[in-house]
Amino acid sequence: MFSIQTKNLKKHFDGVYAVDDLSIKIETGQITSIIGPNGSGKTTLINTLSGLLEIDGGLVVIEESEKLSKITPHEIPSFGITRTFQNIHLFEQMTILDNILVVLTDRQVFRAIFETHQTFHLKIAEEVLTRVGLWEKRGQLAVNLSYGQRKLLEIARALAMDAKIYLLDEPFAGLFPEMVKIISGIIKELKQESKTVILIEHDMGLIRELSDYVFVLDSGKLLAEGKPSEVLAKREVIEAYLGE
Amino acid sequence: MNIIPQIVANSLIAGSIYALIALGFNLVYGATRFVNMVPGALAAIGGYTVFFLFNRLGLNIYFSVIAGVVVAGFFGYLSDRLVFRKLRSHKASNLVSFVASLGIFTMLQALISILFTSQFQSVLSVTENPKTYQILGATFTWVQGLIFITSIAAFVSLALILKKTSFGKAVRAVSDDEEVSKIIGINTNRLISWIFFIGSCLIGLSGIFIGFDIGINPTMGLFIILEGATASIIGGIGNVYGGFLGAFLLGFVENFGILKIPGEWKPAIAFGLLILFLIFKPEGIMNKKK
Amino acid sequence: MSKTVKIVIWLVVIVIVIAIGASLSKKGSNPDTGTGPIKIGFIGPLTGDTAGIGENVRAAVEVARDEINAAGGVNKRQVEVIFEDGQCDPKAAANAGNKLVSVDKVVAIIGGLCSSETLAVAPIAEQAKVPLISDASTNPKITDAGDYIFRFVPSDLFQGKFDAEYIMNTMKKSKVGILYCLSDWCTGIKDVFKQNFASSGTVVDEEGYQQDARDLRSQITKIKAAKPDVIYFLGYSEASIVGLKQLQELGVKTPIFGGDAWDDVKIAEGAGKAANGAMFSVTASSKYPQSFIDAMTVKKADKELNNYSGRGYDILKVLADIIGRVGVDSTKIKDELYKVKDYQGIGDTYTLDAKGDLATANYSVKKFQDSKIVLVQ
Repeated sequence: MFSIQTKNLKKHFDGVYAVDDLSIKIETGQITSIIGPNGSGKTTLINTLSGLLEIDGGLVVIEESEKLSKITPHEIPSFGITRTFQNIHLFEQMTILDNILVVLTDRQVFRAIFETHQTFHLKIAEEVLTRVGLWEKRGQLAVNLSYGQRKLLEIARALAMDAKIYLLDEPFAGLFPEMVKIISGIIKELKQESKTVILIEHDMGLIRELSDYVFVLDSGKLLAEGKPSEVLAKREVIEAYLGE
Repeated sequence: MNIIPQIVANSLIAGSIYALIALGFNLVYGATRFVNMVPGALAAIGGYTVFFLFNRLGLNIYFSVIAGVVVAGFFGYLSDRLVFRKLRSHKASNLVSFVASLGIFTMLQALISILFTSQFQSVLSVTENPKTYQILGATFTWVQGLIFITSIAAFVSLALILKKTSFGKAVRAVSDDEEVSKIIGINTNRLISWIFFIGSCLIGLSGIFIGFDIGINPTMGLFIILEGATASIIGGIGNVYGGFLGAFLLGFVENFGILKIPGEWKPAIAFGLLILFLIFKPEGIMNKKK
Repeated sequence: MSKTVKIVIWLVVIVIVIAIGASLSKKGSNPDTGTGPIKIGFIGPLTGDTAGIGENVRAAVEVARDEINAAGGVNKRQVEVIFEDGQCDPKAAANAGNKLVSVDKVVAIIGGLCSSETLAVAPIAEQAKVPLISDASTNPKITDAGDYIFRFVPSDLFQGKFDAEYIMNTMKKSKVGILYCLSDWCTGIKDVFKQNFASSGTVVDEEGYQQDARDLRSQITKIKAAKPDVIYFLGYSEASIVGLKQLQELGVKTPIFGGDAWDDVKIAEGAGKAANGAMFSVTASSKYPQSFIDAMTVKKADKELNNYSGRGYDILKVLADIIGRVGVDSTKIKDELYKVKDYQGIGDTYTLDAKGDLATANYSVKKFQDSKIVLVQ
């Protein structure tokens, strides 16, 4: 089954197509990497899939049942989708713990005014933060964390969403090897839990190590697709990267 | 006779009113990040609703006050629903939103002038001598005492809600980063509408209190915005605790300031303080430098 | 930007240009040609602070106009009065003055009421050589405001002196705390008052406040602390209502004395019990004739009769009389105004001096009691 499928998806900015007639299928329960030179449309694709940018043409199909030509960002959790950001977006003035707790709240406003966090919310937060190793630091403000800790917090937030589909935009960028290990471990665990992970990544080693499938984008179009070893050996792919 | 206790009392009363304004103002600013002029008109709307129901129609005062608060909150909600939400979705700049708010403010004020004339009106009856109390050498009326207690209560409630409840966390999240809030499933538009409603209720209440204490006229909104914005900026704009602090600081500086300076300079003191802060500590007392 | 937005912007620009063009090309009236109605202007506060007084004077002027016209007008021409709102504000008054002089081309103007209005319009009237006759402005500066500037109400040189003498000699108080607004009228009287009070009393404190301020508590607190035995409180209606209430709130039991702007029923009703016992000076007025009171009752203006309404009425009657004799030439009207001597109007008996001021003045004292105004002496 396909978690996400795009059919002739288009997104343009002032006439320039950042995503140009893209049709791809992402298999459930696999780790799929989206790669390509800078400006090939990877982040735009993620932004469109998560509703932060409007779809200008084509469709997005979620789990082969929801056919969408318009995605509202605050509805994506109901489709089981969550994402992280290339530039890391956290709630800076809130503590690590609060960054997680806010995910677990009641979305109905009236109930939320009277709801304070119950123990089971804290349990979930503890689980998730322990998984990324931030539980001891839970009282610190997000703005005071180191770069690596911030990336881990974003992953933790995504985990707290308990989503089915994870869109991760360059989760390893700028990290020390120890951190890389932690995160790639988490991604593998997600696969074992039958979650779907979509990765934007540049590091060829990680791509080979983690991905089950790879899509290569260039100038908004699909250049190549397939298993990592095949795709990365293709001449067009190499040229696209070298020519950037 | 020592006039210090009286000046302290005057400061606390002024600070209480400014605090209500700042609370409402900061709540909305935190979520929307632009200087909004509409609260000025909302305070007048609150005051005039009570005037209309209580003075003109003779309805029960408690009912009138609650109605005034709700009406002000409702108009605030409308302004978001009809205007500011659309501007947000078109990613309008802060300047555009400010200008739009100025337009709405002017329109509402003009509406009030047409309906009620631009005359200054007293809200409470003058045939009764107001009950006054004396504490430590300071005299104040029961209305002023009520204002003080209410603003403390409002602040405490708001602080508790923001800190302890899910709703409060969601509000802080939206103020912090609207995009991420959406991603984690918060319907930010709906939440912001609620924030507008609650903030506007607080500001409507401040207008009602001013009406009780002094009186109302259609242009009272400008004064309210200036004092409220000054209190918020001094305390740290967008910061609920800061606004509260800034409000009382403003009240004290204004009232103690005129001990030495002639009384007509009172408004200038507020502005002087504002300018000082803008130059030396623009992020305010409670906010950290970005 | 999108096409629709561009079109909308262009439409707005076109509308604005047309509107500006239309207002620029608006033809003013022709100067008085000897036929048609005689146009006289009026400037006074019809909205805002002191509108109560302003509206009442307006009604009185209308009564005078109706009487004149019913009797056949002046030189067989009807009298038309063009009323403009000065708002007790210099800017609004100046605009009104400009309009009356340049657009309506009036032959004389009754007004301003507030001193700030008159002082703002004076240079405009002087330059256009249009006589300006005030019914209520008492600031001493108006005396030298111009050759074409007159008033049918005494300068505060008289009132400040009267108040000081009354407080010192009749009330027998010697320590005064002054609470005054920062307008021409308030500061004018205050200065004259201080000069006269210095002879046998002391000013223990003086606090100013903006004319539109509504919170006088800080000032009152300071005055209270200076322990005066009388408080001289100068202000217009809205600030006075608030001030009187706040004086009571802050437990001030000292006797209070005010100026002639307090001759407004709105203050008595607005301040209620808080005003009980507060006294103030007003220019002494003759009792208004019953016919005038009846005519004002018809206009529903009888409840708020004040000292200036009669003067407004008298000014129009004097102007009608002068125009009847010398015609509509403004300079001739001006010359005749200087000759007014012992004219017995309904508000006062008028004699103008060489500067266009009243030569003498009489004052009475009134006080607030139970939401009403009563005469003390």
